[in-house]
Amino acid sequence: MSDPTDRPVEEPEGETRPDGGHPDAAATVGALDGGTDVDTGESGATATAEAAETETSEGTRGTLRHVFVVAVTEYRLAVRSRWALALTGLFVFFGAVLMTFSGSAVGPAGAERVVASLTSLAAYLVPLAALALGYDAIVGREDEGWLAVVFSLPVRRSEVVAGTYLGRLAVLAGATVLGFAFSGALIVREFGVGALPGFLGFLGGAVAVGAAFLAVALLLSTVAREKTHALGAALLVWVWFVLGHDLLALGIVAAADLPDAALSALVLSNPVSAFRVLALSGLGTTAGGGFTAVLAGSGLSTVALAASLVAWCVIPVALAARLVRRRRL
Amino acid sequence: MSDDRLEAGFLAAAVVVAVLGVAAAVALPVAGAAGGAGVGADASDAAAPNASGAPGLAVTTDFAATGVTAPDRDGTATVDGESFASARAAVDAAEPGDTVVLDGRFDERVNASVDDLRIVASESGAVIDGGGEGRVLTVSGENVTVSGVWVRGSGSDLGSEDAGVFVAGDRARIESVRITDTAYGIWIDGADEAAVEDVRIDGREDVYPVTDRGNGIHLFETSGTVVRDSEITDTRDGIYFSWATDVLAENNTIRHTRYGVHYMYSDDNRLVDNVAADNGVGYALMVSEGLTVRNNTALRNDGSSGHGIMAKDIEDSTVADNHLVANRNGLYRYNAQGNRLVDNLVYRNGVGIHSAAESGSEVVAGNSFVRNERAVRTARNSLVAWNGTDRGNYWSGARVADRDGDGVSEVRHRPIGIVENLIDDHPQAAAFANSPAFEAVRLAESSFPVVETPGVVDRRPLVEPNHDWRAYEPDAASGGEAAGGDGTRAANRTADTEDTP
Amino acid sequence: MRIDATDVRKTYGDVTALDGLSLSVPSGSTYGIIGTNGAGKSTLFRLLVGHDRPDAGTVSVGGTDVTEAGRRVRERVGYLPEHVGFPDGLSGREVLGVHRAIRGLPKDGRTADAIERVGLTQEEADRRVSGYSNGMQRRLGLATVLLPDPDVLILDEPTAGLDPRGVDEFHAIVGEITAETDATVVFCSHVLGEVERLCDRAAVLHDGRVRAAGSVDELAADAETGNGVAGDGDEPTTASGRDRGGLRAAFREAIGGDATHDSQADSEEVAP
Repeated sequence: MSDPTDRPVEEPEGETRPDGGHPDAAATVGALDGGTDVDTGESGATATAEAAETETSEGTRGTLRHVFVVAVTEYRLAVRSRWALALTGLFVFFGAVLMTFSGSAVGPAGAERVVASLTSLAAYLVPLAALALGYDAIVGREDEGWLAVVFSLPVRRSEVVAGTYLGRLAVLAGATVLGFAFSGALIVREFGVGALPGFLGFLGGAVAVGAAFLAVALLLSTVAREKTHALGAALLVWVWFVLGHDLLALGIVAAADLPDAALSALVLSNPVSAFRVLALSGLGTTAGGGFTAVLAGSGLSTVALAASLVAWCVIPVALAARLVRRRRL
Repeated sequence: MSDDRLEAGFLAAAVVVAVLGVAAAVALPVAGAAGGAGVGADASDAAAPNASGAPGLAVTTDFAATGVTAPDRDGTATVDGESFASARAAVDAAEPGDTVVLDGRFDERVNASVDDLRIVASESGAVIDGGGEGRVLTVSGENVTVSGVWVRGSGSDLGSEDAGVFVAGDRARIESVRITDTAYGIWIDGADEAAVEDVRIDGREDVYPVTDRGNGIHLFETSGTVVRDSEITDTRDGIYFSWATDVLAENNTIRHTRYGVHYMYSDDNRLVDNVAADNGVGYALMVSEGLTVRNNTALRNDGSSGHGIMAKDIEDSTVADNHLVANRNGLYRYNAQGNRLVDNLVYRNGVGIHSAAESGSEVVAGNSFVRNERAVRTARNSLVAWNGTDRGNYWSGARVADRDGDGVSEVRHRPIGIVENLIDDHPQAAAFANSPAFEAVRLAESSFPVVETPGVVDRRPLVEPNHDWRAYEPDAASGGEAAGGDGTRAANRTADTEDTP
Repeated sequence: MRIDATDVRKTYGDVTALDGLSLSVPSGSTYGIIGTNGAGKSTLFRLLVGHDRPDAGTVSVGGTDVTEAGRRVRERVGYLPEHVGFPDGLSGREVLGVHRAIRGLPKDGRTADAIERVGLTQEEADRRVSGYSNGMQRRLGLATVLLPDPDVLILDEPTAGLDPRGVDEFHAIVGEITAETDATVVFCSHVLGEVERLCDRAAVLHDGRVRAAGSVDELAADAETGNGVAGDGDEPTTASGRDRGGLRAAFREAIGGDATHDSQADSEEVAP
């Protein structure tokens, strides 16, 4: 009550929820960093409550605390700068427009068509939103001068990167869930609760692809010297993954007979494709374009697709956590 | 403070929504076992094109030769007031113009060689049983009528044309006759102007392969013959045309055959108002010219090489106003030249129109391609325009823009282009279907007339369909409240979203 | 807690920022570092808190090698970067809360204390940083440094951008720390008088090396006599410089009368 920053402790979902899909992210980056910046133990100068703890457990708890504090701060800042409302509104608006024009087809087949259309929409929109939210995560904070302040605290830089990611992810995931929940509610009203599993599959995929592009944006933001560079790179990344990659993949498929593994690699190397195939394969043949058959025939499995999306979240963040150490302040 | 509330509330709301959604989905199969099962069944209905439940998907059966019975009592044949125990004896004794009335069961084979004879069953019915050998009833006289008789038990030698009724005389009339357990049902052998009406033929469904069965009605070198209001099941081909011309086949229903109707070397015939359902091929048009195929329905002809209509080496024919629904291929064309394919409804087939060997001089217009898994497949060495008239076809899911309000879009449509061909060549590429990359290529193909990739183009696609397919829509039937009046059209428009590639 | 830098070299690309710098700051001293722009002050500070690694040589704080255990060093160090900034969306109190939470410090009213010490009101602390003047931001920065009661304070140009009242307050704060704790304070400044007034020891940096170092009195005295403390035999400084006396003379002497640097330091002294 007297100290507003204490409030985060009262809302534990600030960390546990948004990183629900990637609880390993923090641990991963922590481990990556551990080799060079070893915490060789407490000298006891600072009277922290954990002083009595063993070194290892203090190290883990300290890491978690640092990640958590940064995440809550980033989340709070993003909400205050209206990102949460803007993204939610964006998803509500486009979802509503789509629902309006897809009209009143009845039955589960109709629901699947709507979900398939939502998938196509989200394939454009969610990556763009994630990149817009994330491109200035590091380089923008440096411009502010805040990064130099935070890095001078007793934290690993990787912890700051992980916290930044999770905090912004909470905003993006929340906006995705809330924004598309509006479409979901319309679908359930129109087609009944039977349409829910297919929609939830789509929603989970949308959150995951958003998380993946947020991770990529974070990496760009970590590497970029200037904010404008990060923005430009983010737009290029969007064009590449939404359009370029698949065009190239089509060209490759047209030019050469590929083994199934190569085709799988082409799909999995693009989070947008992985999301699309994942969401559509959960639908029936009428709307899904027989994706189930495609999946069966190409050696792609739901597990592989989901794993690739998780990898697309973890690897860029881990890479950013490493590369941030090279950053000059 | 409002910020703080927003911060906590936003995430809390998202979490609550997510948890509620997941909980609802998890609880669904547990709580409402009935509801859950219903959902599953509905989903499989939607997945399978041969779903039932819609009025249009149910085929009317048991309408032909309904009064015909096969009594077991000994037969009595009456002609000119004189009674015979043998139908053959009565027929042989008859004079031209006489009527032979059959009553009861005759275990024999009959040859009606007298002209102008009428062979009719009594009100309590008559059956001629051939005992499994040869032709049961042969009509070799001219202008002979057979009516109300049940014919069964022919031989099974296809080479000797073992048939229930073998017609060799002109102007024969076979009406209200049931034929069962025969190799061929009716064989018209070089006789003209035969009339087959209200006949029901049930083939030998236990004979396999199907090609070892005879045809339901076999027309050989006949002209001016009519086949109407008849019902044929479980034969090799339902109605087989060989060197037959000027034959009208109308209002017949053919099910569970290899080919429902099969034309070979038969020109200038008309096929109207028929229904062919659950056959290998609904209507197989082969090596013929000048056929008129109009207003027929081909339903669920979805075997491994299933086609609603197969047109192979067909020239100068018209295929119009037919409903091709839920077949593997709606229309399969192979080297078909100069035909008109107009005003057909092509709905929910695996492939709407599949052209294996392409030709240039055809008209494809006024058709409605709706919700086929793929609207078109084609051999792809050239670009074919499917709008020989000033109006093209209706394509569900096509982008249309009708600025002048004439019902014809100014944006051309590419039902098949580079990406579809790519998927044909490399099925793997289907993994990228629906991707923005696909859409971009499609958009480029339809937006820039200079892009002339092989495939099919409709330069003047229709904005509104000419057909109402709701009779075939399983969900519309179960869903109940179809919007009436003005709403009907809107419902149609919104019900179709896209052909999935 | 003492600070030692031994033969430290650091280059960025083809720019040599530190060229064999050696420096010792005794525990509990208040140490001023003076030097021209580009002399390597900020680089030295970045190395002291582990933001960069030296190419060669060692940097240690309290006997702990910064390169080996930067995070542990930072637990004891309060560092105020030259270009300090805060996210617009946070209030001053929240900024301090983030620091407190990351450092794992107890909630014992130290946030409110720090706010008061740097001359912000509690009401101002609850406002968003976006509404802060430059001076308020500097004060808030100082508050973040004071928050953990650090053993070492490293302040990069702490008074740049402060109004005269703020400068006075800063001086008072440093005076308090010197008097009441045994914390080591290291700061750099363009304002020679500030160093002279606050520091017991000082070093002159130029071109990435320490040109002169010692107690402030020694430095001033040696400059008067022309006996530079620095051992690299620079030209004696001119008479006009000696007239101004004190550190200024020492500074001039140490950097070898480089006109460009001299005039720059001159002007900045006049207009802080």
